[in-house]
Amino acid sequence: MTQCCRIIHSFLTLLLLLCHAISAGGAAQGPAPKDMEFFERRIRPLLAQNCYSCHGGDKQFGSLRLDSHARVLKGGKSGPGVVPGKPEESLLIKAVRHETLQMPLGRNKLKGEQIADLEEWVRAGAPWPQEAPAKLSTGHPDFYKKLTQEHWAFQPVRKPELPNVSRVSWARTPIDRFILASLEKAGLAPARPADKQTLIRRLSFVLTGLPPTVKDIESFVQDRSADAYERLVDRLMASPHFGEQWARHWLDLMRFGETHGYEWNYEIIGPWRYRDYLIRAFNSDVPYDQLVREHIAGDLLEKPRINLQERINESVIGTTSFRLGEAGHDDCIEFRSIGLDVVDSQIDTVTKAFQGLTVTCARCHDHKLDPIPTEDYYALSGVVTSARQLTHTIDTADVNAEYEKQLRQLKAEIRSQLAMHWIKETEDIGRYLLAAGTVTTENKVLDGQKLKHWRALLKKEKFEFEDPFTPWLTLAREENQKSGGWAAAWRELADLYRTESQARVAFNRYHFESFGDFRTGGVGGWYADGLGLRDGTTPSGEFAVAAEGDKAVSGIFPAGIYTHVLSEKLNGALRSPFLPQNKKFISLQVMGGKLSARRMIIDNCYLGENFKVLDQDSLSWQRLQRAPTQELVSSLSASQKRLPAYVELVTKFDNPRIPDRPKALKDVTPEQLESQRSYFGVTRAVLHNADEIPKDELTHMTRLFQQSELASMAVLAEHYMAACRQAIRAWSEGRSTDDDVRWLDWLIRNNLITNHRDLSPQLRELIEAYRKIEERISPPRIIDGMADLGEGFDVSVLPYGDWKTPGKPAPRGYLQLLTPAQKRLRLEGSGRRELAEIIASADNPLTARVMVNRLWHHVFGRGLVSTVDNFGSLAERPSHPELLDYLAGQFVENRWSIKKMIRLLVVSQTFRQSNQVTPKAGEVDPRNRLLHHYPVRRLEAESIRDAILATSGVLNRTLYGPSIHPYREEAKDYRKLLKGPLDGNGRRSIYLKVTRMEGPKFLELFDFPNTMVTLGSRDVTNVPSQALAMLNDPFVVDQARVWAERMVSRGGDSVERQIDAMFWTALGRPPQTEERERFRGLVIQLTNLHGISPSDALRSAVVWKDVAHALFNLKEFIYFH
Amino acid sequence: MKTTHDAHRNGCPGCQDAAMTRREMLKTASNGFGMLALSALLADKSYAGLSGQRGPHFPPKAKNIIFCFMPGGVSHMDSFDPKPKLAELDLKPSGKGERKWLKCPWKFSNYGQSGLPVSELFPHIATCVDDLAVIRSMKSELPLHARGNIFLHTGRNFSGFPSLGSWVTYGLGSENQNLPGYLLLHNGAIPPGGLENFSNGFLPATYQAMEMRAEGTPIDNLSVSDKNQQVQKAKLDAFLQQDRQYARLLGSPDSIEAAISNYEMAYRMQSLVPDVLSLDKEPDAIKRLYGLDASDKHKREYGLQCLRARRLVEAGVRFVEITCPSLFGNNGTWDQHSELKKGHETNAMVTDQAIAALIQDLKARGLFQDTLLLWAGEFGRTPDTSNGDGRDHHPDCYTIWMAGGGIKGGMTYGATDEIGNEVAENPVTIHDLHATILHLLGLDHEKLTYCFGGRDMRLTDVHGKVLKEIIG
Repeated sequence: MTQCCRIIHSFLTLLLLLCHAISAGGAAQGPAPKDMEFFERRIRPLLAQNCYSCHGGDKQFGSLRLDSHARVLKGGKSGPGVVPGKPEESLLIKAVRHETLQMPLGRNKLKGEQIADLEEWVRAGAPWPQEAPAKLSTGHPDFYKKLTQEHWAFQPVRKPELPNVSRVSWARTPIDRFILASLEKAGLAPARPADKQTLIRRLSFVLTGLPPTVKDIESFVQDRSADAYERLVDRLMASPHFGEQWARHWLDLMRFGETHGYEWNYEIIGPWRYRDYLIRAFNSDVPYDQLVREHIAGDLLEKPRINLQERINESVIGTTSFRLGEAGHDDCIEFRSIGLDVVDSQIDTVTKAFQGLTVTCARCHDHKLDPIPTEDYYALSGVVTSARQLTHTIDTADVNAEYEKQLRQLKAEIRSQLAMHWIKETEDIGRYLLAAGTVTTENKVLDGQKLKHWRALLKKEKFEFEDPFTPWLTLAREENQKSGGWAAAWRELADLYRTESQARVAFNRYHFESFGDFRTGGVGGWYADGLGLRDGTTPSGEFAVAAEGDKAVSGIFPAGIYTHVLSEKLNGALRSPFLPQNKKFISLQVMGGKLSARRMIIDNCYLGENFKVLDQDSLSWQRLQRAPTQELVSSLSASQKRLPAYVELVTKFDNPRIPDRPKALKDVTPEQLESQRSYFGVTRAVLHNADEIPKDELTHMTRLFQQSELASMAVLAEHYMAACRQAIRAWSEGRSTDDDVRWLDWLIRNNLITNHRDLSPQLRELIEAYRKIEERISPPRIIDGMADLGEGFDVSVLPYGDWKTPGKPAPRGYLQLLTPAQKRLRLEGSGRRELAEIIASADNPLTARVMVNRLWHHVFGRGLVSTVDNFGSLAERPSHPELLDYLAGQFVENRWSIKKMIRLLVVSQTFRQSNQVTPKAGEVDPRNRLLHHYPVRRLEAESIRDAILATSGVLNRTLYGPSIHPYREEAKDYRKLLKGPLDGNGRRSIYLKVTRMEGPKFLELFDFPNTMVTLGSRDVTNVPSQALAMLNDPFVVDQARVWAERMVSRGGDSVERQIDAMFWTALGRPPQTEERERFRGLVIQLTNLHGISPSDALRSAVVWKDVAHALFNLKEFIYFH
Repeated sequence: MKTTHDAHRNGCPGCQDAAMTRREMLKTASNGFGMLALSALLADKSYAGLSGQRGPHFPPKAKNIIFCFMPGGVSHMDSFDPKPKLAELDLKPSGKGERKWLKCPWKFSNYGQSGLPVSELFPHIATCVDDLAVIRSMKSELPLHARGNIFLHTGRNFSGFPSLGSWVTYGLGSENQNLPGYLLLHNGAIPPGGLENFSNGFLPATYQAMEMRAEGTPIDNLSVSDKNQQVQKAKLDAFLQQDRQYARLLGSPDSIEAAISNYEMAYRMQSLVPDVLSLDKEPDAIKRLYGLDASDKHKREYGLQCLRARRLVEAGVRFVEITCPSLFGNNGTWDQHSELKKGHETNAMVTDQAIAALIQDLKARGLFQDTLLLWAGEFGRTPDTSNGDGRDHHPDCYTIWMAGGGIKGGMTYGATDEIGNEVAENPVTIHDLHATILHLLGLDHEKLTYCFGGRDMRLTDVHGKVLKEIIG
């Protein structure tokens, strides 16, 4: 939101200046107060409004600045601006009179009296107050130093004494002492305590967001014990709904949305898992400092929080918070500002949510009001930019471990079964080869089908040099052409292969630089994530058992990394280090299918268009260009060319572009899209500038050419047989080479050996067993998060926020204001880990204050500092500064326990006050800043909907899980706005899907946040569309029907009792006589209007539906006090 | 209206305090920011009873605005900015990779007394050229739909800012106490950028666009859920009595009182809005003028929305925006990267007649001089092509036009080079356009501010100049 703070509006500046001017009024050498007042009232505003857009802090046309005395006197290119005392000689005056220049340029000429004011001012000697205020806009070190030393929020949290009060007995808790002291000072008294029915309703909504049940109310009202209230508090805080309510507050701060919005509204991966993480965290009271660490660097914690029940790494989910904002799919390299906007939103969220600072003002210029120089913004930007935005698999190592062990054992048995049969099959290879060549002779001993396969091979038109069969085909032709040329042809061929092989090796060595070799050892500097990549490199000969169909195996692979050697349900993501600048291409030897993809990610633009779905079940080289198009490369600026880029290979659900927009998916069926299966494999990555890709080095052919002479085709047939048997034998013994795999693969692909699960009953049994276990494998749990991969890097300061003119690099770091000297970031990795510690520190003057103030805001409807997201110099001063510090101190002392803090607030006598305002209090403190009563508050959007569901009896109290699409009559699939059930399956509103393009409409009517910016304090608007919704929205009307039908089916014994019961359910209290009468009157009226006989009134769902509807529409239903 | 007020969340000095009561607000709101905040409050319908209208900064030229939004990028050299040079260059390399120049597939003719050229795409609008000020030198920033749309609407390339319509209603309020100030008429298609294009951003929710669909129920929750209206009245009577008692019990807090008065307005809206939208009293000739008898469904719907727009401004709605149906892909109606001829012809067929009808009808009713008509998209299209069949996104220069309230008709402003690739004279930015529109409505774009995030925000940020030359 604050990206745009290019200048502070002149009026705002003026006001501040006035304050400064007035406070500095007595300065000895300054102009006379009268002159100063004239200047501040008439001249400075005039200059600010008419001149500063071109001659101020941001722009200086003609090198002229008019915002300080010295600069006005000095002037610009055309000479001094003002000659004190001499208006006729002053350029400024001439310009505004349109004598020399015509100023202000492109605007109306100043009014006569404005020109006269200026003349008078110059005539008086152009008096100007002392310069200090002008430094406001310069980020001057002294100004910053002064602010740092003086602004209350930047000072260490103090431990205040409890104030003395006269009505000691009223104060139950230390909080009450502070509140009472202020009230007494103002000559006010607190309100009397609220009654129990009011209290339980208030407490239920505040703590859980839900209305209390009738049973709960009754038992609380009847409980006469001294600690009845405290026990109620404990009960509500132990409810799982507590976590839902407080997670929802937190989601506002994290600008929570579940899609990326913008043009195609791509899905964010697993945002609901982050929502569930928060609910669990608030319910189990994870200390706040831990939450801070997890949000900023949960992926880097030495000891992540492991959820043993769910078998997930909780800590890493915190980093999803960075990823919840808007993001476009366009390429950052061309549209650089897109990536910068994403980073800006991340910085804005972190600094406002945790620190209550408007840091993003410093994106374009030094912060004008808080000590935050632009360098700080870019120091922080370097931290965020160095981290990569990618998916994490959050399953712990033991997930599927038992199944995987069983699968591995079965694979060993499957391998020996297959090898046994295949060895047998290859005994006949020579005979098939010879027989296949002689078309006329049918050999009855050989299998006809297999012979056909061999013949098909012989008919192949395309001769690829690296195909194992090429020598045979070549010689077979030679033989046809000139009989007897055997020996020569063979020698020639052997030579050809040898020299070609050498040439290719040399070519590869010359052009390609290895950037990753996954055939031996680990991933070599690359980063592997996912259940399918937990074992890293697999040796040559590893294979995948076919998960369905008649085949036994779906592939046998050379050494490398493969996600599917156990199951295609296991996911994987393999990411490269940042690519060096000096190479144009990276090529990968890959295979993959079922919507796995290879992607180039530039400047963290993770939704970029430059990705390609992999659709090949054998390895081949694929070339990726560093920049998307050649045309673009030539037009890129130096800074664009330097943008960090990396490649990744991902299985389907690790790809943020899946599901892609409909046009891109037109060849994909819904079944393919939803299928759990996907895979890829890769052996090597190389960098190069040449256009070509690496060549096959032909090493697998060596085994054919071991003898220099060849006697006959029959001998060659023997060679082929030997080559194949060597391959199978090596494979069966688990010592195969990539060359062996090449031969095996050739045999299988050409159906020269039988790849069928029915090869033997034993094999069939093994494969069936394998498939059964594979079915039980649980799919990976994936989230969008942040990761530090490799070294971090600094980014350049962008003066005026303009990426086209980068300035000096800013060393990574945090705000100088909040970084103790000994805690400068180490420049390893992005620096997020250290950043997290600085923010989560008890010594940070803002972290605890900001958070306890947020909790106070939610409990009392307004913070002690009402500007909950801004604790900078524009913040409203705390109404009770000592109380704020007391709470911040307690918070840290109680090990950052959020639950303990909330409990402290709600058990106070202050919280238990009624809403009654005495006339005096209304007079003295109409805004209730001193808290002389508990305010009337409207329910938040979610609570309105939840209360309707709770009242109608439909509320489904299930926790957690994927979100439910909000009610939508018409789907807009192309924007991923899908249909949802009218009542959201009765689930609480926090489980409704927040699509960024169009949020849940019913909630949006009641100020559900717009998800674009972090938001600590929601609006409470009051507009007619809210009334229209309560009157006519199908959800409300339908819930009235459901409630009525429930009531009628219970068969009440009188209209009055029915009314009583419904009052209890909706409002938590019985009707007074007058109210009962009013609603009885309504029932009679409705009975008439619906043409129902009065005797049937009690059993008429139609009538009671209207009564229910009227109750939903009561203000008392959507307000509490 | 707001018990906690968005604007003050971050504490602008000089802004009114958050939880200030209505009475306090009225007491203190006598100048400067107080006045502005008061206006925000008064513009809120539920305070309508308390207030007169908030006035403009100076006498306005126009009272209302109808914005015919042309999303996707209408090709400027194929509509209002003829480039004969392109015919000479047709299919010759343009020097950008494999791209080639592409001539205009339509003929241009001169119309009216002004003789302004219009291509045969828009035969109806062509008859109105003497009323149009055609700006040929518009500039946007990024060749991206979502960002372009949001830029056109909010003056920013990113989401979260109030739309032009929200600013106008914030500044002027609605003339009709019973109708919202900003209405968005559409037929189901959401242009790229989504509803953010029409969002109130940080302005109070009152100023967001209310959607009105061409098909089905025009406005959400407007049709009375009770078949028998008396049933609703009976319920309303009962719960409003109950509410008043509740308000008294709590010491009459403003929020509850305002909520009660909102019900009264909502109740009236239920009958008033359908009245305004009902075409029962429109003569057949008028319906035909707008093309409501057309065989094409989209053309009928677009005509209906234009006719509704007229009825709405007649009833005092401040800002009406009409979007186009999405007929070709989903990136905006006019986004013809291929099949330029088919696409542009269909879109023109759908919109041309009704827009011309709107001009004629407004004139016939004496509303034209009070109503500003804006015809604009987010960018133009390239003079060259990558496939010989379409044009790509072009933010460097493009054409829009305005007509009606305060606009000098029969003129062009600004010019492009001979192939329509760059602005040749008088560049006009989106901020200039916004400044001019506000000016025509009597608002000074530098004074129309709202305090948010520690700063007074403007629609034009720190930019914008009024195009005096097109004002009559």
